Amino acid sequence: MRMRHILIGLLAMASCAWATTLEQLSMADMIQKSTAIVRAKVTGSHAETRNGTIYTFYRLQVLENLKASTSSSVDVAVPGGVMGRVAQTAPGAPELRPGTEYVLFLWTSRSGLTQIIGLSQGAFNARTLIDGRTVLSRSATAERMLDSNGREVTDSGLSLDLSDLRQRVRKGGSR
Amino acid sequence: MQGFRRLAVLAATLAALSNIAFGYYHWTFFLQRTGPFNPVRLKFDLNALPGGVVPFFIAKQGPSKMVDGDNFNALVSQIRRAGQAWNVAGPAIKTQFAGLTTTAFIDAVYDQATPAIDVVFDDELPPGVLAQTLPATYTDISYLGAANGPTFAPIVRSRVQLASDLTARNQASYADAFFTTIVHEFGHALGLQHSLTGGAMSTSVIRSTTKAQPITADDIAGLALLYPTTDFQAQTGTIAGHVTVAGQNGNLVSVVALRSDGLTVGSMTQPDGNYRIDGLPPGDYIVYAHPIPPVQTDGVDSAAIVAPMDLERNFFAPSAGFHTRFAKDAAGTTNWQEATHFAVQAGKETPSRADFALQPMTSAPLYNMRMFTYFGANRDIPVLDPSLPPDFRYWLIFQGPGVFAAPLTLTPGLQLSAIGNAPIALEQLQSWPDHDGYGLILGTSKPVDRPTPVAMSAVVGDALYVSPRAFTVVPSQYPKITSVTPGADGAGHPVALIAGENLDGTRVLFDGSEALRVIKKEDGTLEALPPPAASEYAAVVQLLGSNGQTSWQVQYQQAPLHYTYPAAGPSGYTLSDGGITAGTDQMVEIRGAGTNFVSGRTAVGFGSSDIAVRQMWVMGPELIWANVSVNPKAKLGNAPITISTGLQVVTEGIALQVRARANNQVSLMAPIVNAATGLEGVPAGGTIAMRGVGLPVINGGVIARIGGLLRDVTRGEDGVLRASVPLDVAPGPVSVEMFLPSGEVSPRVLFQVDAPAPVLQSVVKVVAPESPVVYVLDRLSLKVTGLGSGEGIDPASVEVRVAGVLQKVETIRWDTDAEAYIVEFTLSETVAAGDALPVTLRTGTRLTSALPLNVGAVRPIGQ
Repeated sequence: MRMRHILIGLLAMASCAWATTLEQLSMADMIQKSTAIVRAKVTGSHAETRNGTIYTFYRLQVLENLKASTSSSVDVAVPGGVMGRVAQTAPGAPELRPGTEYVLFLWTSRSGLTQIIGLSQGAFNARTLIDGRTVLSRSATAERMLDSNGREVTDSGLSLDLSDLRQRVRKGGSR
Repeated sequence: MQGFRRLAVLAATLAALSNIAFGYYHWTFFLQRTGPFNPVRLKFDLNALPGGVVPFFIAKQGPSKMVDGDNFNALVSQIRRAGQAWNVAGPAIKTQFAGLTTTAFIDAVYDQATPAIDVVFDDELPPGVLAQTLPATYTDISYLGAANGPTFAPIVRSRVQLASDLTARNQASYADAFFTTIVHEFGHALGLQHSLTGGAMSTSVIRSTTKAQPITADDIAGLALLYPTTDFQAQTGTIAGHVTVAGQNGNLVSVVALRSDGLTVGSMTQPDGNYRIDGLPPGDYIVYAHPIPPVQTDGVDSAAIVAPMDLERNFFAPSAGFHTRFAKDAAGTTNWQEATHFAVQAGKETPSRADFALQPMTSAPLYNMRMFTYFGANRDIPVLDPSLPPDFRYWLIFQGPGVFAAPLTLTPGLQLSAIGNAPIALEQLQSWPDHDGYGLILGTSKPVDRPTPVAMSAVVGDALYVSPRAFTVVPSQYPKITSVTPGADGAGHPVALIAGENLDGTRVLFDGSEALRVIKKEDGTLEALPPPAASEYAAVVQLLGSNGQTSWQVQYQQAPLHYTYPAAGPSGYTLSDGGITAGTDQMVEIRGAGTNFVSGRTAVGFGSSDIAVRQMWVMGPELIWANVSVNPKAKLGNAPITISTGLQVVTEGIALQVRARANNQVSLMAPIVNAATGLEGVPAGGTIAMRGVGLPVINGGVIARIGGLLRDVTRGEDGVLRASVPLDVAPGPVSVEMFLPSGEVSPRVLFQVDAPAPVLQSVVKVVAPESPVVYVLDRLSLKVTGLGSGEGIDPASVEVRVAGVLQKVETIRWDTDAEAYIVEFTLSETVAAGDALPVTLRTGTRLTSALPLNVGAVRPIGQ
């Protein structure tokens, strides 16, 4: 049993706490660690600097609060953008497109800066299918995705139903 | 976002200008979707960096919280070491710690003209982000379109952002993983993306570097291709090829060359399917192509590589849906034993190409497999990417998507094997009882004489995964520390006495700063002279093994052992002259009090990338002389000074005052070089070459005062001023200042006076020394006088060139009869035949005159 604990600790250390730029987050992690989860549309953006980093602030029109309640609009900061004569690149940061509907896992820092957790990990496109279901898929990635069984996801992103997410949020992240 | 688009549009004009080799893991823009695919990359402009050195700063306010027992000076030390891990032979760029700064990143971008890297601590990092590096470039880069202009997008400044609360994820600065993460982030700051070979730039899933061996050949190749040198290009070779996936050109397919001894270097295909793996050390390679790992549901297991973009900032999506293959004919193979071998020679591309015609996958893929094992008497210390000592026999544990078909059931048909002539015997592949998701294979290591990374092949039917550096077989056990006690050496200096296991050849770190001296005593303990630190400072002591292992890897579960420094007085410093003029180079004298300056270990910085220490001489524990260069655009006013030696960081004291430049300002530019060699050292009686600003354009009337003696200055047709060095000056730094007929005087700068240069007495073949002609691969012997003193001259400190081509010095020995050193090397294959080719030898800045060598074209039969 002790071996098992050591093993889990080691792998957690390897893949999370000390990983690289990104810390691996499961869906349960994202639900737990987010301060708000919203379904929203981008209505505009502007750039500002904060603590020396250029952020692109996306103004979101909130369509649904899945976790916590926010006002009808919220500004979400994404690192990187253009400010004056300087453009700052933030690898892995999602680009949100005006008019597009998203489900975003948000985190607000103590200083009040609201960001998407795990950069692109917490940003999902929301699409309503012909059968009325709303399907969420991870956006702003050029990478191929697989489901948990190793099968390729045709949407080229992580997919789940919005209704499934609602249920999981209600259960605090568990399936 | 607009900036990226503008960047791409403007960069479109560069398509015809780009001359960089293609296909690597850098930030890349392609200018059109249909080709030709000439990349525009993001990187530092070496011409904007004095001496090709990019300074890095650390935010003075530090983290808001640190792990118990950790402290800011330790953090600075670890970050210094991590940044300097990239200072290796090959790339033209170097990094240098330039002090603490209080300037906000964005202000530095606007206020400082010289590019730099800033390490900051920021509580705004959201969950899921441990650290991030953000390179900044210009929004408007229209000047790039100019004829003969740069063919890259310049990094104005890179920001390495770490969490401010380091307790949140238990990030102790002394932990190995913190160090390797910082090394990784510095790689990003320099312009590298992720690679897939297990090196420093790999994501943590397959990264297998350590604090003792922080970067690999793949990392060096990546940086050297971004910042090339002729030496690196001459010493390494290339494998090139083309990849199709289901008949279409394969984009962003990772192609990896794997040498027979486990060395790996990778590259990526362009949208047209072409790739080149440059920077390959010579040897026998096999090659495999694989998709970049996918993002997996409920996790981020991807390689996190930002794909190239076009003019509209649309990605060139990576090709997917195919299985990994070793190169063999076009279709490839899953069996490494059938793979085609490629003999890479220095300076050449292999005549045969490694082309792949990959087919769509027909089964679930394998990827991101990782191995670990247990060490310790009770086998209770798990170590990832382990280093297996001789005769190690235990289970190697693996995990990864695709290896299990059901809980506790390995995928039927799974085969694991060590690739090539790996020093390991494997047997008994099975699942791990009661440990779902983990498999076991019993490994028995074989003796090796040097660390040998082992790549593992995993095959299930049509699916193949290659783990490039799954583990390493090494000649020795992990070093361990059992105790650290304060003591004194024979001269009464405080030392750390370290007891432990497997201490041969280990280096000792005190909070990341290396011991100034380590002696192994007769009782087997180590006596380590610690680097300078403040009074009663407690430093975590760790060992770096000679084979890449660290004590931390097997002792991370224990509380770290500390060495506590003796009580000492406070330290501070004063400046000889508190002011320096913008746009000039000037000698600055720093007098310390209670300091312990050490040559090669002390760094001086001024909190601004526009004020650079170009050269520095530690004249004693409390005296530094330095040539300081101030950019003409430097911000005027006080520049705070940081002096860092080991763990001693002195920041409080007199600031350097940057003054406005006068219209008739005259200045010499450091470094002043030897007119005969171009190197930064000149013997007494030699001639110095000086460049500067505001210097006369006509000959005559200019006087230089060199070491207190006046010398006439002449101006050559090249515009360079020259003056002779007095014969009676002693080796060491000597000042020079220029007096113009108009009355202006340049600020003093220093140059290095060397001992006389060594002399090449002869160059002959070791076998048949009478032969007038030699051939490539002949072993040659140089007889050299004046090279140095004593028996032990490190071959790495001596550089031999034949016709300009760098040779690898193998041995240096003293010949008592000849009263000379004998330097031996094997003539490189890249030396072209010719008569009277010049042979030179250099140590430091001392260069011999050339001796002629006749190199034949074709070796006669029988020789």
